[in-house]
Amino acid sequence: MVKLLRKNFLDRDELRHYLAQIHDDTDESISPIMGGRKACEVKLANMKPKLYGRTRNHLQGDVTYLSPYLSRGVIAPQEVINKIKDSVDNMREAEKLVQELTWRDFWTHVAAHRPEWLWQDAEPYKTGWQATDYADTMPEDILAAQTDCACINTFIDSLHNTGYVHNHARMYLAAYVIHFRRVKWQVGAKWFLDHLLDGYPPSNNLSWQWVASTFSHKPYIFNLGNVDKYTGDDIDTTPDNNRPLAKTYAVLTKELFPNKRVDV
Amino acid sequence: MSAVLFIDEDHLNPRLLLNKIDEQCLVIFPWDKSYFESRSYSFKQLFFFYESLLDEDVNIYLGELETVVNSFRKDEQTSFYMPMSLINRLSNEFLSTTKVTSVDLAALTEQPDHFCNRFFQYWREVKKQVMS
Repeated sequence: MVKLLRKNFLDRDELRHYLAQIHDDTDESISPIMGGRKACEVKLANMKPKLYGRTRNHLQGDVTYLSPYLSRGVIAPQEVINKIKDSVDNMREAEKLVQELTWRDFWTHVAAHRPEWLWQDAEPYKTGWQATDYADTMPEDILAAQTDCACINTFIDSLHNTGYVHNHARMYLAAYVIHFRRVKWQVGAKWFLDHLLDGYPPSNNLSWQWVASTFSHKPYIFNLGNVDKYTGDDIDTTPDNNRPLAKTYAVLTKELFPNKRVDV
Repeated sequence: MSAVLFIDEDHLNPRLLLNKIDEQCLVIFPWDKSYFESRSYSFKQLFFFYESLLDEDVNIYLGELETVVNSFRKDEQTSFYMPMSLINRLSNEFLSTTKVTSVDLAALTEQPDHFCNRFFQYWREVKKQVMS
């Protein structure tokens, strides 16, 4: 049996209730990020290609927030490129943003050639640990956003509450899960796919492998100083509330990868 | 003769696909609960999909994919279009009796003919295409 579903709603709240009834869902929370072409076009109009290159690593930087719409086929990447061309004198001014759009094609290319890499290690870990040394399940305190790192808890809340996390914060979360908590990258990749509005397995999973070092030359790690540099006042980066991260790279490397000298 | 385009959660704007089809199409989104459950989509994700469809000339039908597709089979001449991501969800049995034409979003870059396993290797290959 098939049933035609409604398309006219007074507001998001009415749609939320309607959808919750269809899915018998008890968690009716929705993202503040609006779906649809109209919302996407607002983001497109606000895009700042030149500033993107200079500020993209900062959580308050001029990123486009187009990823959910690109990932879900609301807008074609070529439309974004055309808009960039209209807004810069020279495409070199927007090279970082064009590269970012190209990453998705790259991940698709890799997944097309090596589909098994979506869920299997592409290469061995370069951390001094074996794959079997990593846990198969996500620790409860991470799922509950109750870790002993305040900044990490905020990033987890963003993932769970909005379905969106800034790319740099995704790297922090991935590195925290894999290297600080020694959990398999696959567990983290699945966790992200279950929540991200822009969850695209090739981009998501191969990026997790990049952080893990199973698809890169070395593991990606970060420390509290790096988080402090790239975040604003809304993120708690006080050392007392982020003790595992409040260390130098030399100390972290020794602690996280004691079995192998790693050039991080 | 009738034509139907089926879309999924990775192709929420049918206009990006319709411009590749040389006939008028009815557009259908099969809202397949069991599939969504198999993907463990959160309510937030489902809401984003549905809300996106409100901006488009798409009919949303609740039901399993093959059941929804079958319900639009008017006669032997019905043309079915869908992206590969949907075709891959159809059973071989279904595909053996139903002709489905794939239609997909254009990639930004033409894929190099050899495998690049690092991004900057790939970037060197495609930079001219996207930067010019």
